[in-house]
Amino acid sequence: MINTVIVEDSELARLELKNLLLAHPEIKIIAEAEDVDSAVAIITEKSPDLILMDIDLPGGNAFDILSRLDVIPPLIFTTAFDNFALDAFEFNTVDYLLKPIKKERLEKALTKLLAKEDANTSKQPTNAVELLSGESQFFVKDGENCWLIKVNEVRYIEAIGNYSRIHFSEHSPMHYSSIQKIEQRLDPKTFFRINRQELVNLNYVVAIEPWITGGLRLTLSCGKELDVSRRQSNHFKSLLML
Amino acid sequence: MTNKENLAATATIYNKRLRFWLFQLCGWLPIAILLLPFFGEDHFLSVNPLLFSFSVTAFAIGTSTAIRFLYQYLNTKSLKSSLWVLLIISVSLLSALLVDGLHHTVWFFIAKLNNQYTPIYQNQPFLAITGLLWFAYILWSSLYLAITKQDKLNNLLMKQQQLELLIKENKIKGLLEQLNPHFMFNTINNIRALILQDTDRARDMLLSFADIMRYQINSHDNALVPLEEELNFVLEFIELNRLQLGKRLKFSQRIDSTLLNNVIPRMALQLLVENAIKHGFNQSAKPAMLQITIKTEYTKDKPQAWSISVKNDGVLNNEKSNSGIGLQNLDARLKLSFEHNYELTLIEENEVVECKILFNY
Repeated sequence: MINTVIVEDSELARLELKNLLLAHPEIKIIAEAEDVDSAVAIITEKSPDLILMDIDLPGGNAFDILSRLDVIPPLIFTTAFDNFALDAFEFNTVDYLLKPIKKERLEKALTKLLAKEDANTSKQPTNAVELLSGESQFFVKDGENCWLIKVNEVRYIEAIGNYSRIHFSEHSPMHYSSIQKIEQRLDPKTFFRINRQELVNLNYVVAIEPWITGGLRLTLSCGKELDVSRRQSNHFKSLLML
Repeated sequence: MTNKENLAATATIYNKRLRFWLFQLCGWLPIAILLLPFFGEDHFLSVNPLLFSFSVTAFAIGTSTAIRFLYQYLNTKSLKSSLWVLLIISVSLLSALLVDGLHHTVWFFIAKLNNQYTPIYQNQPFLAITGLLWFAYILWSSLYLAITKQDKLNNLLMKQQQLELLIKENKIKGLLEQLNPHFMFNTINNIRALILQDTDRARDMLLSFADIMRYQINSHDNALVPLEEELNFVLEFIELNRLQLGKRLKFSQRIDSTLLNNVIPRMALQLLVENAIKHGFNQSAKPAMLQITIKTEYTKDKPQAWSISVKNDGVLNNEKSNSGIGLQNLDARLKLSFEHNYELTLIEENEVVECKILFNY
């Protein structure tokens, strides 16, 4: 069963969507939201497996919802018109359906999403409730651009005052959240705070060598070099010792 | 009107005055010269012929200026062309008689003081030069009227062109923003769902959809439409919006049906309603009011005044003025059709926004 939330202001449009979903019995609609506030509340409360979300909503748009969520469940946008808001998404992480929705198109979007889901759940069967799994995605909006980032795509996170810069793929957007706050949500076995400024995804570390400061120097797969403070070096070593 | 336009208008008036006096000079100079030998003395460049010619020409120019005012007044009336011919002939004859008469009377009295001037009115007896003047006045009148007619035509043509340009511009903008694609596709999607629920209503809604499409597509026909036509279109537009808004839409209308034959710019009411829906229902999912009022405005000096008003729940937000372009555009179209006899206002009072067009022509 895939617990699904529909976010859509028009009652008729919800009816239409539910009617289309009758062909997919594995989709179970657990809640419907009509505007931004109720959507945030419902998604936070129910943590659904899937959200079908209209982009234009009373009280704002889909991005206002995403930026208020810690974790973004798998998501499909629905929109009446090719929305330039979608251009904000840097790469093709988000699928969207044009209303009226063709049933073939819906099927394709669902299949794509569910295939991914299966792969994820088999890889990481159990997870601490509080921590984000490697496959979880979160929403980052920096200026005009938006990203849905998977946790295991992040190489390292850099503290910039009360904000942070997320380095992943070829991008490094600013995120309006402190590095402490982010650290709490991430698996400490994967993400290690090497110094006050930086949090590193250990999966991307390709080389470690002692450094003159008394700490360590890490080299990431992308070639970036980062220093582990002396204080953190012992913790770091003990974490990696067998 | 902006300063620039004011300046341009003033310049045109000066240009026209300058042109009038230039034409006067060019027209009357030959007559003045023609009058010299007409005096009947061998040396027609001596004092008396010159005075004679100068006097008659001066009276003639003075009288022509007076006729100009008469023609300017008559130009505002729409007279038949046969009547014009009659008018030109009789006015010219009267003017010729007047000039001749004035000339004789004035010089009669001057000659009493100094009889060396006696030939000025005696050489050519009364009525002798009337024929020549009559002919001159007919020519003058015809030319004057032809030129003013042409001016009027040019003005009208210019205004027409401006209007057409604006409509064209508006049509393009209309395609871009007036019935926005979100509305269109949402409506189609909603009707598709309605078919599952209420087939009859779905069929009605499709008719409404066809109607508003037709109204849009025909929008190049007329810049101005009877209020009744626009209102019918807008009511269907609102019903289609009700599909999307559902129970949230609290719509009411108060319409003085005696005003339905008045004309307004096409899509004017639609623009006000679309703005009201955009701002009244996009802020939250709460129910909201939408009200159309069309009524006579009882003002002392303008008994003809009437107004269209659209109200919605909400607050004015100057920063998000996407609809500002639409309203500016509407303002420009109103100005072209109604000049200064209208007022377009957008106000907020107690969290109700009202957009109103007051016509006081």
